Amino acid sequence: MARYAMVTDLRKCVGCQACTVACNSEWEVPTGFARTHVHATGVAGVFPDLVSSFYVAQCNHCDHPACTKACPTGATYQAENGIVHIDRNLCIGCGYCLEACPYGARYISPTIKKADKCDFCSPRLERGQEPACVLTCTAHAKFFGNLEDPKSEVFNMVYEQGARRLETPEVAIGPNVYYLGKKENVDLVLATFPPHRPRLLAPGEIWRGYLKPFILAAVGATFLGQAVAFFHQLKVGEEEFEK
Amino acid sequence: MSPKLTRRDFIRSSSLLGAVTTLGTAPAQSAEHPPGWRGTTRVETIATNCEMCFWRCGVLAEVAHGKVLKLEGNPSHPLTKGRLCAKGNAGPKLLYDPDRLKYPMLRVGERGEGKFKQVSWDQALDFLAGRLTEFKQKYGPESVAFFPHGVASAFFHTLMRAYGTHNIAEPAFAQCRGPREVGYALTFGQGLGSPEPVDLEESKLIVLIGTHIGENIFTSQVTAFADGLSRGAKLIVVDPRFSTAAAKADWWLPIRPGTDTALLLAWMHVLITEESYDKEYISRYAQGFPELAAHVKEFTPEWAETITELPAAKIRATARAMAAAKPAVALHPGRHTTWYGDDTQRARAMAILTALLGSWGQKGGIFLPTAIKTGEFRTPAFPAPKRERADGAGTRFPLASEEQGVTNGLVDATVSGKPYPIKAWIVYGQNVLESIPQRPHTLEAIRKLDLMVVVDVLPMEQTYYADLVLPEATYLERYDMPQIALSAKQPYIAIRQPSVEPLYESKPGWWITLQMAHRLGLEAYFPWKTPEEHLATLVQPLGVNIDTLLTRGAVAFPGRPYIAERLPEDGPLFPTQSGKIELYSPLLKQLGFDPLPRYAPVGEPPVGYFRLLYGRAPVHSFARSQNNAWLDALMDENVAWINEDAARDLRLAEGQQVVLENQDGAKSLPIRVSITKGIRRDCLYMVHGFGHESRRLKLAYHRGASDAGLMTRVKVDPIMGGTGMRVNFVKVVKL
Amino acid sequence: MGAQSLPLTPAPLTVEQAEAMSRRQIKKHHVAIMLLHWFNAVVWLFELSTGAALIASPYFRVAPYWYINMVTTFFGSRANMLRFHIAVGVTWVIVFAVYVTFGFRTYVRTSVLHGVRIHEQPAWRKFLALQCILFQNEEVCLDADDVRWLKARFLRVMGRNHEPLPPQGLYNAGQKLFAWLVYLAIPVIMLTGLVMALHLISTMTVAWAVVLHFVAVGLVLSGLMIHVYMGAVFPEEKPAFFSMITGMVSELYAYRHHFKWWREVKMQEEAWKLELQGASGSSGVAPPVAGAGSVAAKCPLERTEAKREGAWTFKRIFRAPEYWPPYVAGAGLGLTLLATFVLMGQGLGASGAFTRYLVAILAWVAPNYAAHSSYWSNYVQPGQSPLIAFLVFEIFGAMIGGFVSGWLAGRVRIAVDKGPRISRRTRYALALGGGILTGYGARLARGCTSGLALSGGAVLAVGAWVFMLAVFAAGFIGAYFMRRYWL
Repeated sequence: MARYAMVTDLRKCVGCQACTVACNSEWEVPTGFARTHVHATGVAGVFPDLVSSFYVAQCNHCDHPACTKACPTGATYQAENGIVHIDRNLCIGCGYCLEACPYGARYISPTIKKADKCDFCSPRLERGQEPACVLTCTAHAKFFGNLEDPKSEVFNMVYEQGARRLETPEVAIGPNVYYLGKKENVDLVLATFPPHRPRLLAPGEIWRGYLKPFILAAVGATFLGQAVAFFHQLKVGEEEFEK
Repeated sequence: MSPKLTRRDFIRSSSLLGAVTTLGTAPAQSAEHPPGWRGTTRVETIATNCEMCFWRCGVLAEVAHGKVLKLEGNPSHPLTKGRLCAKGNAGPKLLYDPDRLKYPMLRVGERGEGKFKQVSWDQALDFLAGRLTEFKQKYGPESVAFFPHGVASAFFHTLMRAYGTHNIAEPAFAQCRGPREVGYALTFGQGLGSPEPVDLEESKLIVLIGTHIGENIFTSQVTAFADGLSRGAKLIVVDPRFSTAAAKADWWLPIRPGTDTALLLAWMHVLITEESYDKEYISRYAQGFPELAAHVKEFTPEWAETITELPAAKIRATARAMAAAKPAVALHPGRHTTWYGDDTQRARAMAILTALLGSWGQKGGIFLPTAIKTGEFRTPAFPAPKRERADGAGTRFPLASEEQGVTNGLVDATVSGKPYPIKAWIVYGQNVLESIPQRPHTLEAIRKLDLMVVVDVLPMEQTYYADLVLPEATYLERYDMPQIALSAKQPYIAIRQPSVEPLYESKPGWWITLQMAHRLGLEAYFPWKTPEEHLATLVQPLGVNIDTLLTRGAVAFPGRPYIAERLPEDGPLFPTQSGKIELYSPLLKQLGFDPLPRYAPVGEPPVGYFRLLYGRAPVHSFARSQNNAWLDALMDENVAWINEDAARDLRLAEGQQVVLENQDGAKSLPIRVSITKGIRRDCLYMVHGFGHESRRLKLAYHRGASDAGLMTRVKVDPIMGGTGMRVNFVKVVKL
Repeated sequence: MGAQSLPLTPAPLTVEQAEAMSRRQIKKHHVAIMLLHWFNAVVWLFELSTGAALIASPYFRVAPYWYINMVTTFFGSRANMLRFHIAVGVTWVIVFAVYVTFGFRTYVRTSVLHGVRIHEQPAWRKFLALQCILFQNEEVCLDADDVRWLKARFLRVMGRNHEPLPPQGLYNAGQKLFAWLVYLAIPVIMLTGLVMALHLISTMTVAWAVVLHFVAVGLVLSGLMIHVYMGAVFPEEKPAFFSMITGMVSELYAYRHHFKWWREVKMQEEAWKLELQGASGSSGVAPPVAGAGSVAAKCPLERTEAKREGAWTFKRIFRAPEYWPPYVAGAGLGLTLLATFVLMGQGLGASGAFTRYLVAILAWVAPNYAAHSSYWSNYVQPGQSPLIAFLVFEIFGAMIGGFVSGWLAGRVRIAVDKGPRISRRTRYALALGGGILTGYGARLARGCTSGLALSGGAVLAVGAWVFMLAVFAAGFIGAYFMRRYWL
């Protein structure tokens, strides 16, 4: 089974946003939204020894995704090859996944009112094409492949060249988009755009913490009461019981 | 039940049950995506090339139901190999821009008022043909000036030459690449052309002087640049601003603006005094070395330090890095090179440095173009104009290109009426108000005209001043002159063909040209009826199957990019007068200019003023793309980069809106301040192309500020007429 | 005996009295209420079973994974399950909207009729009126007796008190409280359901809707379990269960469990009797038979005494003049269907046969057209008559079987079943119109109640269940408009 991963080479990326527009075009992403977007970190350091980098954000298809757990209907699910999909037929547009994602990789499409995000261009993969962003990347900075194939470019970049995940000690859910670059650049990206802890929207938190136990207890209690009554009824016998 | 009624119709005709059962379900995305299909739609793929800028990357237009769904990079394009930048990907939004010019229009109000009436193509073309005939009889054909740009204007270019005028000028020369072409041609005998033949991917050391690859996106050049870096090439970036490229550099030299020639001379000084230049290459191919050695002797790094404000040690170190990497040093010649009016000399300095490193014609340096032979048309010779060129190319500006002309020269001639009055402008695919500096001067010229015609896709500023506006089809709706790219490692021919029929009443350039040729009686210059026929004649000697070309979009031929591979049929290596690299230029000497480049101060900004620098953003093409919805979403306005110390002194806040005012009192539209460490404190930087004044550009109108509007001064290069535009100073006025 | 002689509180009954009362049936439920109840029951069954399986993620899940997987497998995909859940839910909303709209009209009409002046009423009456406006159903409104009943019931459960329970109306306080819960929760469930299904307003709204939906359903569910248990399992309330099928309860049950209601019915009965007597007494002549009959027909107690329940013998089933008990008929139909699947490899159907008759005629009259029409050509195979099909013969079999069964029961006669107010011609026109609509609908749905709902339902086709729900929903709505033709 494949384990898909993407590597962005920050040494090469020039932040030209070709990936953003190619993706918008491929997936008819509504104007003003994006499945993949590019941010500049801004300039750090002391003149003239300055550092800056770009952060190419997209869904990380994490090993332990936070979004799938937060999705009430199971519309967000992870396939065996690691790709996290959204089943649009199941999505109800509640936004729990948006809050759960530490990387802000998701948006609610104003046209269909459902969540949307990068799916590593799965339909293109099925057609035997590269993801649109990888094909179009002007700086040849995006690489896509199977981490379980030792001959793949991404395997080499991750295991030989030391491409890094954007993880912090607090948030380590195994993102599968890796960043290759000088330590100072990747550190700067991580410092500027740190992943937040997976969050559950307030109603979900209330449900999980208070309401669900209460409801289950109520249903359970009535069930138990009836079971007692039923066995009593059986024991006493129907006729007797009626009197 | 009618015999035509199928089950599907049957279902469609009754929707009550359907309405109930399908509520809340979105269109299902099929799991099956066979090739040639997107979801449930069958897609036709048309190979063509892009014109969101002029690099012309290969694209595949995916078309279904007569609509372009997506533009995808064409993987079989020899240069761009499937890569496409943000602008290229956003092409469909130009095609379907609701603000497009939709039909021919004749002016009814005052110039600049923007009042027009719709006319038919016949009326419009008859009107234009009538006026052109009148001008020819009354004032002679030279009284009509032509301002072309872009591929589409190629056919019209022929028409204007056939009509009898040679007053043709495009900004690609005098506002862009001119100094570089002339400077390198003076040294090596030939210019560089486009795409630039810089061997970035094979290079061991890349040197960028004011070239902001990464913000300036030419797809294959960016790819080569990034690939070169990942293969281990070192990078020197000379830029007063911490650009995208500077962030990747091993040495960033934040030079004082206008002192690049001093740095170049100091580098030469180090190479020559340390004898680390390519001695064999120089002795074999170059002449004038002793003069050069003597000339640079005084230009020590310590001398340069006082001028450039760069540490002498850093200058030495970078020079030694170049020496170590030679000849695989890719010293990028730049593209927009009209900076300070001494630009040809600076380009000369860069060319000489390239020669000292022995990298011209070498792997990892500058490679050589390879010619391919295309078909020719049997057409009469163009009529010889009776009068000299009005723009001064070849006369006032002795080394200006007569092919590309001097735009500002034509503007000057129109204003002054000298050497003879210019009565009409035909502007084709360029925005004279944005591309040519000194806008008031240009407007004065326009006011003196009897006729101004604009052929364009979008209602740019200049259309407000036009008497006749002709709507051109976009590059996705037309055939164009194929691109014959010789300055690629493998020369190639790439075609443009329509993906969809032209929208509205817009027409392709070739159609407009043929119609005009017919009306002016110039059919003899166009011995073809359809663009397919034109293409067939052109590619005939190449031995390329035309169907292959139409399917693949581009076909490449073997190239001989390095000196070692050259064949006699490629002609002389250095087609200069001497047949050698002219480190010392006898031609310049003869014309009364410095035969060796020399640093001359360019003047300092007055107190309280910044030097205005400008450049490009990766998501926009000049002033052309600001109305594109996708690109507008990524960048809808430009910002003014100001050094954080300077901002602190001025008490500016990040994102604060200010107005920029130049030394002549010209004011910009409001622009936001971006406070950064990444710029020297004596300059202010902004991205070119914003601050549109045309109300018809609904997204772009009054977004950001125009740098062109702040360029009331230029310093004209006496050698080739280029307008040095970095001589304007601005101060920040708080709102 | 007059209305005044009726006891105000339930008095102990003699054995004879109880025996007599157990034989008499009182009408408790209107047919619309019964239909709505079972429609509701089916909806709740479907929605609960799919809903529990739709909540899949760890943070929200209530059902175990094996259950979720089982239901998902049944529907083929979770998307189908959601579609089904939404389709059933939307049908439910529409049916309720129709019911409530017409019910509200009825309520307004009756309350205007009664001339209730709320501001003059005592506080609990005001509360009652408020409930009536909220619920549009007086029978579920809590009154003072209910409050006492609840208190007594609670004390009894606590073992503190053993005084008799206060008398109850048509529904007891427990049922009313459940109704309260349901009435409050149902709008929440419906609104939140629509918010989720149509992604209304904003992301945060949907996020809250998810939780509110779950909570409302959970609360109803805990009550629903008691409701189902009491109705279907608890022996004392068995008559209530059957009353939801027949509409009737025995007088004894009414007396014991819903005394107030019994008293009301009784009072009405006395009033009618008095009216009758008064009429005869004043004129001094015997009441006209027809007039007495019509008044008597309105009186629920004048219904025939319930037949004595006996064993279902072979003779009773096959030779009796009345119809089969529905349970036996249902099982028989199921076995027939099973046999058809085993023997013929396909289920039962009706409309398909008629399609084939039509195709046969078409193929005979206009063979070219039939062979090339994209719809009819499906049935035309060269060298084979479209009539060589199981369904064609099945219809004949059904007709023969129906005749034999009617003949055995002695019911064979020529008659037109129609309402009393309409002419035969109207009945024929309605039958033809209904037939055309049914035929059109059946071909649109690719099957009728037999081919799709019955055969499809038997093989658990989701379409069949959706169809069946739609049929019942449409029937329910249609019946309202067509009722005047039958009454």
